[in-house]
Amino acid sequence: MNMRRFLLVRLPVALCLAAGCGAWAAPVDELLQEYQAQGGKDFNAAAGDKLWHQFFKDPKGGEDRRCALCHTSDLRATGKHAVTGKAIKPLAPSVNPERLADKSKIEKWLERNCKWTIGRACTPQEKGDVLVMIRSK
Amino acid sequence: MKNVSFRMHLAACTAIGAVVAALPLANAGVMVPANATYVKECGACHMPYSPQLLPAASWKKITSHLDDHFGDSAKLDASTQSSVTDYLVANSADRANSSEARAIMQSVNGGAAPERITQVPYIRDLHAAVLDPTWNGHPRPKTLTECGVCHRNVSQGNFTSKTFSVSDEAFRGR
Repeated sequence: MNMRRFLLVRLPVALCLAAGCGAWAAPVDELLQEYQAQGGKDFNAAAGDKLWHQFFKDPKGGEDRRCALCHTSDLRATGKHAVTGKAIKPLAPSVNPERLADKSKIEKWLERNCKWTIGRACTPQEKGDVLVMIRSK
Repeated sequence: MKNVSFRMHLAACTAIGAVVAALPLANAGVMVPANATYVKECGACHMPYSPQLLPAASWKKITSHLDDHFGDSAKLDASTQSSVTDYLVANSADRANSSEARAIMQSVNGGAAPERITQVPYIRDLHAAVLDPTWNGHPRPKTLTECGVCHRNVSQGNFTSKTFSVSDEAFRGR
């Protein structure tokens, strides 16, 4: 066999098959599979949208918090950190392709922001719904 | 011989050049953070503060409970957390030789570890006017988080009064 062809074509395909192509799958699809394995199902953007706009009372300060407070209601717009005032780049992948491109970054921010906004970790169902909603923007 | 003298000339020029280049650095004020991990992770929510603005003990304390960072979760994975901590501690006010860093360390009681930059006595006193709720009839700023709102040249580490966006008079008057 032509060595060059082996290195460029056959080897990557073989490695991909061996690794279940995990590294090539879109981060969101990979996460949705994980959330499904943890009990989530039928993820949908409408449910994600509802959660996005829902108010949650902060048990300490008593103020109303919601995702839109920092990220605004329009995911294509630039947001603003509620405490520091720092600008937050748009979340919609259609205007900011950096979004939803890095699995560990998605998980890091879901963990942090669910805790601040809702006061607890989000369920796999909630995370899946919100991710599907963000991806649709 | 000619070649040697040229080399010496070159060496001398290089040496002078290095000294001249170093001069502005020595007078540049507070070090601007350049560590990519620190700037990316901490700069995501607020301006990445110069490590020289707090003692090492403060940075150790702050990074030890990032899951509750002034009421917000800024949790990092263990390896990122330790690399950010190492950077902050290695460049903290204790280790810096800028006049600002020395003033900060002199003002902090031995062993104290303020977690807010505005709790460092030297910095707190300089900002007494703006930290006062009844500041000369001006509305008190909601937050002093972004130094650049008033210190226009903060991106070059310059906190001197000449670069205020508000007049010294309005700032000091009480």
